[in-house]
Amino acid sequence: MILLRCPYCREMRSEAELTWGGEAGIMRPADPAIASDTEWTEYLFMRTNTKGWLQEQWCCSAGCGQWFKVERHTVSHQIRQILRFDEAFSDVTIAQEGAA
Amino acid sequence: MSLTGSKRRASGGHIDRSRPISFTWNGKKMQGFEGDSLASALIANGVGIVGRSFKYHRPRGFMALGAEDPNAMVSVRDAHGYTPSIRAGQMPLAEGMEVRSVTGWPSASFDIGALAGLGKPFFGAGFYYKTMMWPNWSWFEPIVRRATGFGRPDGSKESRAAQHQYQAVDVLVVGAGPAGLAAAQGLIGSGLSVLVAEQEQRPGGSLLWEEAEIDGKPGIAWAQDIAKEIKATPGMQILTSTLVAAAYDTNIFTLVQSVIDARGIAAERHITLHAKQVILASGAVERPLLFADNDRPGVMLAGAVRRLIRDYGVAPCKQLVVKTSNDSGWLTAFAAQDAGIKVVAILDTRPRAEAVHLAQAEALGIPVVFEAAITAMKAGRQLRGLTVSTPSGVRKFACDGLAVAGGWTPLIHLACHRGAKPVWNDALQMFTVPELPQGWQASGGVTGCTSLTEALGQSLQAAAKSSQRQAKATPLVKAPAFGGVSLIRRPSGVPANKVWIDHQNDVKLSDVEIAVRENYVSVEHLKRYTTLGMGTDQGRTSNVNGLAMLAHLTGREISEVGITTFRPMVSAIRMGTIAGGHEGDLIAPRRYLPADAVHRRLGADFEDFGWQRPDWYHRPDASDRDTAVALEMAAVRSDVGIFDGSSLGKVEVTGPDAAAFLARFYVSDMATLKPGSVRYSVMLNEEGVIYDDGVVACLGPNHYLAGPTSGHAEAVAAHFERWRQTEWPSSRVAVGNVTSNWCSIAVAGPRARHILAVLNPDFDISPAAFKHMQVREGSWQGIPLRVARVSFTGELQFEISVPSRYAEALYETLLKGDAAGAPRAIGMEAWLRLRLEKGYIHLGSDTNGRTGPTEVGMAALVAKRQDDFIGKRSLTLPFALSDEREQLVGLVAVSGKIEAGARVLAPGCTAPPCKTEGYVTSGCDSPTLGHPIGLALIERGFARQGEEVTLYSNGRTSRARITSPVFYDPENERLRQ
Amino acid sequence: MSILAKSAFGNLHGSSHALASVHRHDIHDRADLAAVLVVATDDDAAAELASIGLTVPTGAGPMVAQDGLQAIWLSPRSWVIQCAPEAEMALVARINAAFDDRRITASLFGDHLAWIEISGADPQALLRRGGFVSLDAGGIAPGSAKRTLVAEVNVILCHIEPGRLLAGVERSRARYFVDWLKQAAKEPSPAF
Ligand SMILES: [Zn+2]
Repeated sequence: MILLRCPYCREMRSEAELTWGGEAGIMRPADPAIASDTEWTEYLFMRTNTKGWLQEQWCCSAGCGQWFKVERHTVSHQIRQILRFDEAFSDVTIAQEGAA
Repeated sequence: MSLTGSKRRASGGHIDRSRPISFTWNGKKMQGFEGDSLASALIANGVGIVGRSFKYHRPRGFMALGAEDPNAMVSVRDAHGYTPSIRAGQMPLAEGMEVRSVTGWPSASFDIGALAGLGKPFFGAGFYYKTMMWPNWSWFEPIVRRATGFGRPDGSKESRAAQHQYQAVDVLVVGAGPAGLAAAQGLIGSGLSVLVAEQEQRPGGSLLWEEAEIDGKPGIAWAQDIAKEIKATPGMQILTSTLVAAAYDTNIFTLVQSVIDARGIAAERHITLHAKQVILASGAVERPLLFADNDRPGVMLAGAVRRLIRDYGVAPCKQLVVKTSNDSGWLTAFAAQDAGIKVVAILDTRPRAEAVHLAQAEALGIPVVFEAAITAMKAGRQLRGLTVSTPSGVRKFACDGLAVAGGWTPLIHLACHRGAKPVWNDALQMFTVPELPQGWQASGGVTGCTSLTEALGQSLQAAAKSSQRQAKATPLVKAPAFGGVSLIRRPSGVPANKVWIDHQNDVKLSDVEIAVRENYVSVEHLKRYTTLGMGTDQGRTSNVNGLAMLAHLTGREISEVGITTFRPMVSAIRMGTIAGGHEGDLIAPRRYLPADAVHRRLGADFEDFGWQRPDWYHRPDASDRDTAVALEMAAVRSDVGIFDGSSLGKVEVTGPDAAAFLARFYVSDMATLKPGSVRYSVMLNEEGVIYDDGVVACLGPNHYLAGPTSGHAEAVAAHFERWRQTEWPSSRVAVGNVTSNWCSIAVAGPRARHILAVLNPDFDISPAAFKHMQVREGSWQGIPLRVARVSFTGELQFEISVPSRYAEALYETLLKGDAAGAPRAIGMEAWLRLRLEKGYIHLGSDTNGRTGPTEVGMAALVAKRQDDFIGKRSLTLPFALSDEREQLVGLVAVSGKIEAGARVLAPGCTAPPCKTEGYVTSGCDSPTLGHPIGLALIERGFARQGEEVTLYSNGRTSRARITSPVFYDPENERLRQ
Repeated sequence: MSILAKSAFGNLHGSSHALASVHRHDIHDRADLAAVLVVATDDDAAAELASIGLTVPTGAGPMVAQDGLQAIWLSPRSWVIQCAPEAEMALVARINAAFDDRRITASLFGDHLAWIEISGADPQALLRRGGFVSLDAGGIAPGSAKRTLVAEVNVILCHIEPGRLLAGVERSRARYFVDWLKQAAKEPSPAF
């Protein structure tokens, strides 16, 4: 069971209270009309499917309803960073990738 | 023979001889005492054969006294319920229990299957894979099913109460044996919240039967004192009869606590526990030795014999031989001799033993044989003797009991649920988990430790680390040592098909040989091919021996062979306990309409559409559904009906950017919507598939009310929120879901305006002033009133909303009608058929996970939009433009019915198997039109107007013609009246 | 003609009604409570509300009581303000009049939520039969509110004072929630 402390309401939330939103940092093409089919389908469907540290979107759905970002290890469920949605992941920990 | 059976001793044990308990075994009356487990009571009563083995129907006796016992599966009916299959050792004895063997027919002690030799040519390793193959497997299955299995459900409803509970603690201590209790004692005064879970009814673990003195007290007294201290400490609790059944990520555990009273298991509590830290003190179980005929009843683990004597006051036999690979067997021999059992011999597989034990054996006059191997057993229904090969030749011993001690198997299951890796320790001859999950520590037998002093020291260290304090001093301990264990060896000089490894699943050494011969040399393959360790005992007594034999046969070390994956649950738990109170109306959250009481008074027949909604109404003129639905539809078409649509979503979208925000969600441009107007549209997901449909009303500047489909309101509000927060965070817009604040009652039919007039609203409702697709706000006698003129039925229709507290009043006021008559109450079925006649889509019925706006005829709307909206770009991807997309069309019956779900067969086909090109999404007999109609998603449907197709449903075929989906009033004249 | 206002449990709106007495606890339908939903389009809404004399909490947890109103933080841009039923419409009108561009919007919410009061020995322990309620030591502090799931139902839990807890439950699910509470509160055995 995933447990995350929401960075907005500061409550420790259990899995039932959370919604997973897939990989973080997926950029919607600024002008979809001029995006090529490839660009658009990359945006829609292509994900890294990482085994290891993954930056994700989560929502405190049964709590304060806010979306936030989490760096989670997809095998061990260790959590390395929890950020508000407008915050950037720290590079320091990204550089440590594989170390943990 | 006394009433309590021949094997109960006059004294000794922790049972209360002043409190007898009566029970029955296969209908025969028996008696035990308070403190007995079902297993100890049965053994005390002389029950030797408790069941039959899974495949060969061999007689099986008690091998152990807990969850590790592969044999003693029984069914139990106590005062609180029926348990079809449980190990006798896991059930505390209670007054009036009816206990039955669950294997063997007609009885466990006389089994026809065994007489007939059923299965002998049948069930070797790989049997299922070699035999259960199409088409023959269906022929074998019934025979195999009848001949095998444990216990039968009796068909009765689970009557035992079950309660769920969620709990968070600082430290979970698994086990209240000496190690667990010492750990808990070390945490007293730390201020941490601690839960100690013990599977047995009493704390103490091995101190209940092993000789030990701690802190100058008998071990069990020491244990009881600590248990009392824990109970008296605020924030600490000790739960007995509580199985820690599973460990999950982030230290979430499933615990099952049995609540036991004098008449059995009264209730169970399913606890979902979060623990910041864990001290695993789950102990170890003993494992048997491999030798010829080792599955005979009368062969028991040495520790179990000690427990029978010291904990339950039972002497299981008169003449005992002990066969051991470590000191455990010696301790059993001394305990047995002390209890008046004649110990015939100690057979040690090792070349020597501890001098202190040897001296004691000599003093007690017990013959000792080293490097001994049992080569044959003399046994019918009961063990009578055995043949032993020794370095000095073959010897025979007469005995009616054999205690075996083959070393220890730590109970590492929970750590392994979390992914901890079991590592073979060759010196200890066991798998342990040197690397534990984060926040975990372990102490005692689970670490492979067999010294009590060392175990207590480990526990106090663990407690110190958990509480970040100095460790308390280890108490002074006097207890016997267990010494080293000899290696697990393939028994020599005996045929492999006489050596049992898994007693529950009847896996023999010969089966492992077959598996190896057929190259199933990975442990996971061995397990599945032979079923080794796949029983309800999860191979606690058999896995390691099996792996050792696999290693031996493949010339590898056990460490190379490894062990199979441990999976939850640790031991079987009741389905009823998992279900808890989730049954009937409580199976999942139910939603009730605000005017629910009125619908019940009106005789509604309810259906669950996410909400409990009237499907149709019983009336004097309508006692069955078809009649009622037809009359309800007729009322709307010719007069007026009222329908409770309160479940319809109401999501307020407000703020300076609200219009632009909404425009990004709907296929229609909501930014051009003027105050007082309503617009219908569909909303797509980013893949271009229809996600929701409904109307949006503009209530005023920067103020919109979106109407998602019933049951979708929360999802659509969350969908709006996600895009607002993550894609357009600077957009000045807010979303508020106010669905349940408002009831919505629809009035539909030619006389709808007359019924609305009954409310005497404070705004003009004349056709000229209040047009189709408009919304008005006002009041009804001072109450906020909102009316939208929209139509789902194709008739003139108003949706009237007031705060939900007035729902009953509004519905009843409307239902009274006017001087010209009362409207008829309309249920869901009539409502859906009315919209089907009109060709309006019902989201989720007429659309599926591939349906886009083009497929439901909205291509022109999409083409009109210059700006972007969610999903728009996906509509020009190649797959969206493919001409194989299923398009929504109407169907009119040519012959037969039109049933939802029917497949549309490809042209030229008359019956499956054949290609199909779509399916009927909605269908009914239209009372208005007088013939069956339907909607269907059909490949290239738009271009196939007028074509006749064959429909196939549940073995029936019918013919229909593809038409426009609008069957009724295509000019929209009626709804504009 | 007077129009009857009824709660989710069929009780007269504006009054408090006993729904059930369960093991060591009482359950009441607080139909004497209503509420207003306030949503904002930017992050400085708390200050803007203060400028019209409404104090709302700026973060999760403690509720703010003022003039018979009780403000509960829902999210960084939304609040529920508990009030008497007769004050509901005026409060909505007051807020919406102050922010006519709808950068802050108030909506009637008294019928969206049913307020269920659980009083007795340990209301939070009773609710823990349907969810963790809190994973932090001490649970929800007195005077604080928290949104969570109990028995798969979204609830706003307000710990009024020790032994008294208010659960704000979406109206359509309120009856289920109380049915569940009654079942969960059962003590199937004296040994429990
Ligand atoms: Zn939150």
